[in-house]
Amino acid sequence: MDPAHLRDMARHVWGEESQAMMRSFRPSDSVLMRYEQNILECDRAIRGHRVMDLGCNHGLWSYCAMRHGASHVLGVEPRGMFVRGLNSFAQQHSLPMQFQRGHDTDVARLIREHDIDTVMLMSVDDITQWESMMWDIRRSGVTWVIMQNSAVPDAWLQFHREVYDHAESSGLGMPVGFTLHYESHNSDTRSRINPLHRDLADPDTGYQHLDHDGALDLQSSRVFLSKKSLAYIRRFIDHAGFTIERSLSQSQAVRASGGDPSRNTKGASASHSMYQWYLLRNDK
Amino acid sequence: MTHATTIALTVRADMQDEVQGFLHHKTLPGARVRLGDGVLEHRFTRAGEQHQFVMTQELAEGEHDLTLEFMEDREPQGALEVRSLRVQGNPMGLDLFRCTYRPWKRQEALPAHLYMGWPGTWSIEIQVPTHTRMGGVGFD
Repeated sequence: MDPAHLRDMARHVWGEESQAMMRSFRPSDSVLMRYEQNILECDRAIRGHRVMDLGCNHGLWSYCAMRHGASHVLGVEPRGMFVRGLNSFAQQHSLPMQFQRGHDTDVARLIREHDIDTVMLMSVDDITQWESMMWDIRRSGVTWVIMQNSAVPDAWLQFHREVYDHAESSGLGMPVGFTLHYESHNSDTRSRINPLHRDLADPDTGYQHLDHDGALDLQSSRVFLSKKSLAYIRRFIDHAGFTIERSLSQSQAVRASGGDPSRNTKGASASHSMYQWYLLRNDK
Repeated sequence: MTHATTIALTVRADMQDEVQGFLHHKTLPGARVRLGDGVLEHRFTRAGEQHQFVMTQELAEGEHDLTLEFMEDREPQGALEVRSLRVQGNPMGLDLFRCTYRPWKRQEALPAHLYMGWPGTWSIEIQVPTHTRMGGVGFD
């Protein structure tokens, strides 16, 4: 990461008000860990490839992929403030990056139109229609998927007697995992956007909590986050037909570096879980 | 260790019953913004005027109150309305409503109020460092 580039990215995205913060910006341990797992460890899926970063937000991972040899990066993000700022940044520095406004439902079309080799999915598993998106990617010509999830532990749901009884009597078999649904709000520029009111969202910020008259509208900004269990994610990856080239959990990564797994949970800790990283191959 | 923190708070003066011709009975409000050791003031000069307070402070890690208050407590005077807040350039959304308005003449705290009809103090918590503690701020 080039600190001068990051400062300038921030200036394009957040304006001059970001510059005092950026003068002393140092990537946090959490950012560095994600950098290692999503970029450095996925070199073969990035270098020389056309990469799409879905839900790119402030564009940090798009930028990192470009710096690590991606031939072209397409960042997709519904919030205009990021798309406009990042395009301006890329153009000013003549970087092979392009940003477009879009949603998870645009994945198949964008992959086709931009001849994408690798899709990056950085913590979008709980704010998208994840299964549909994964099927779209599987059906596409994409070769690689770099994915950072924050699944919940399988042990969180102890199966009750009723589950076994139902499995037996219904013929459905035992559950392979579970999804927990959390009610939340589109409250900041990283939040999920309510898909029902997508067209009415503020085009710059994606916010949905104000109506046309500027009055508070909590109904339109209400969203559901879907946290999937680790076993379910793995079963789904297998079901969709991806090959897992590499997978690692945050606790494994921290232990491998001699650290304490209970630390460095910023970001994922907000959702009571830790990160898992995957490199998936999409064989035909 | 301190962290440079920039806020941009946009405030509007609302003379409320201008239409009814009561404007002459009220004075235009003045507003004072505080964060850390920083203080900014602005006296509004016309009804409906919007003013943006932009301030950068070096703040220690932890919670800090950003406050907006009337410069005088006399009445009648126009109201103040918080229109928007950016932290490090990032526009706050629904979290802006995690604020409290305390009218001076009433012994109560009114949560989630952006409109200050009576002289008083409005405050919101800024969590520092913002890029690791406030959603959507900075690279994290």
